[in-house]
Amino acid sequence: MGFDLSKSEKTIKNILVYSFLTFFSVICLFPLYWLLTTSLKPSLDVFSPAMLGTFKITFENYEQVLFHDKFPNYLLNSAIISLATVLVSVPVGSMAGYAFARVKMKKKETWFFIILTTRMAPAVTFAVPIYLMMVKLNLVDNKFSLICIYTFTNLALCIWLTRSFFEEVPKEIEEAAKMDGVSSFGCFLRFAVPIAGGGIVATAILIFIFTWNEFFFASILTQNSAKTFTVHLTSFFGSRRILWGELASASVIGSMMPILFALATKKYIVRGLTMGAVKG
Amino acid sequence: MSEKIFMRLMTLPALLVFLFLGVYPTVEALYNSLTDYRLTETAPRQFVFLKNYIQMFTTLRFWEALGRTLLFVLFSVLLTYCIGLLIAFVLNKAPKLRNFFRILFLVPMIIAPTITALNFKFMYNNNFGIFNYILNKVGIQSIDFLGNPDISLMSALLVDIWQGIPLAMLILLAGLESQPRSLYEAAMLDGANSLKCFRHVTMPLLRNFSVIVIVLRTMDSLKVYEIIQLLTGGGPGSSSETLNIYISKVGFNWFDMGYASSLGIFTLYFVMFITSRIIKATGIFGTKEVA
Repeated sequence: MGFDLSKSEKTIKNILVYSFLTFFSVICLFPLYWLLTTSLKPSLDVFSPAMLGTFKITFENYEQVLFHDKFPNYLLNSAIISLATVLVSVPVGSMAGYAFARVKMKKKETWFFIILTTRMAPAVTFAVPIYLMMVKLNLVDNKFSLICIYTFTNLALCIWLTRSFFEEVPKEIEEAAKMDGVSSFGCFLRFAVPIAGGGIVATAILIFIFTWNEFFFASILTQNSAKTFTVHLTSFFGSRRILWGELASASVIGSMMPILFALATKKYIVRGLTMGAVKG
Repeated sequence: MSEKIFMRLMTLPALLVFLFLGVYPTVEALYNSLTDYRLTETAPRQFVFLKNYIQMFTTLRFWEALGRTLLFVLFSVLLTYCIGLLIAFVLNKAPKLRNFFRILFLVPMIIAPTITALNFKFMYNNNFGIFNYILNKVGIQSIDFLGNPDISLMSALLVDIWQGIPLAMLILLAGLESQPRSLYEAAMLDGANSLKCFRHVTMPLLRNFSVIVIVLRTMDSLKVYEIIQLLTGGGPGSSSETLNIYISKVGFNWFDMGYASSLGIFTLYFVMFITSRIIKATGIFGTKEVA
């Protein structure tokens, strides 16, 4: 902390800091490392504690999961549902977020709090009536019903995040454009959205990841044709034995998407997570 | 078109979504909670008034689940906050590689809870799990993480904490980064040591960030479902059964939709009560209106 540390003191401090960070990195990454290790083990070694490099690596689990199982179908379902959810919830949410950022009204924060309660509530509390509604509408095991539900569960977050991003866009630009005869919606689309673009991208990524990872609604509302990969993971638990190797390789594949997304958009995702939370 | 109408139209799609998928189910649940609706019976649902609620408040299993939920949330929030703060604090002292570690520490948060739960189930396993292997190596006897009713909830809690730390760390680090260095320099000149700086400069400035972490983590840990459901299914017995697990059992294993709805309504009320209390006590939404 101080400013008069000698060189050796600084070195010691740095060693302490970085060894602590390395230690915590191990805690963060070990489960993922172990998943990867298990997925590469031949079926006889799955239960052995052998570390990576001490056994002969095999891709038979991946082969099994990708070519002799319906896992790719469910992965595709997850991708379609997540993408559709983003495409619906982000425009709907940013329009409302924009209105919240611009409009002056009494009790605005109260309304905002009410919207937020939908993010607070455990999914289970909505599950029974939503399930009954989908049964009535004959939408069980249908991708459409999941897209609707995920749009709803992510909408509050989307409004929350986009509102804070739109608040950063200076009003003056839109006011000037309005003087030039640009319509209100034109202002939103042509000025506010591009300027808040980074934030909107961050929001979209987060919603994609959350939808991709969702399990509860998918588990009660799908059987086969709309089943997502997270639900399928539980079916590696057979009645007689658990296919740990295959489960591990399917899990590794399922984790790739969010991790690649996070790596490709690191600035945006950190911004989305912190800004949204902090500005809330 | 006037500005006011335009803004109304902008919120209309969102409003419709909330109406159909938020308000309607809540009203429907409220109604169902007053009936004896069972999916297994074909007879039309009968109005039973408060019977489900009376059943709820007189069922020991409900109170136990509630108690477990409270304990779970309390420890989860407390520990993720403290550990997250520690990591954020250390990370703030490491200008090099800070962003590298920040991304790396996100990993537990962005992996699907389903994958995390199943993976921990594998690692916790009593016979071949890596955790017990490591414990045995250092001379500790095997622990039956998931099969022992005394520690099954704790095992699930550990996973939730592992998953929850990144969010706490991220927000608190953003808070630390926003603190002006000049304040510390001034405090140092006044003769404050590191500990005093932490207590009298860092923590007060972190207040709003801390509140946000606590609110978000409370919400998230109240929502936990996958981790417990897939790790232990609420078992052994009902030793790790929280409110969410109990509701889903009543609704989707026993198909007692009336009773499940009353439990759902209670939980909804309970969650809103707790979060609004925290928000009011800390005035986080209020301060925003002033600012």
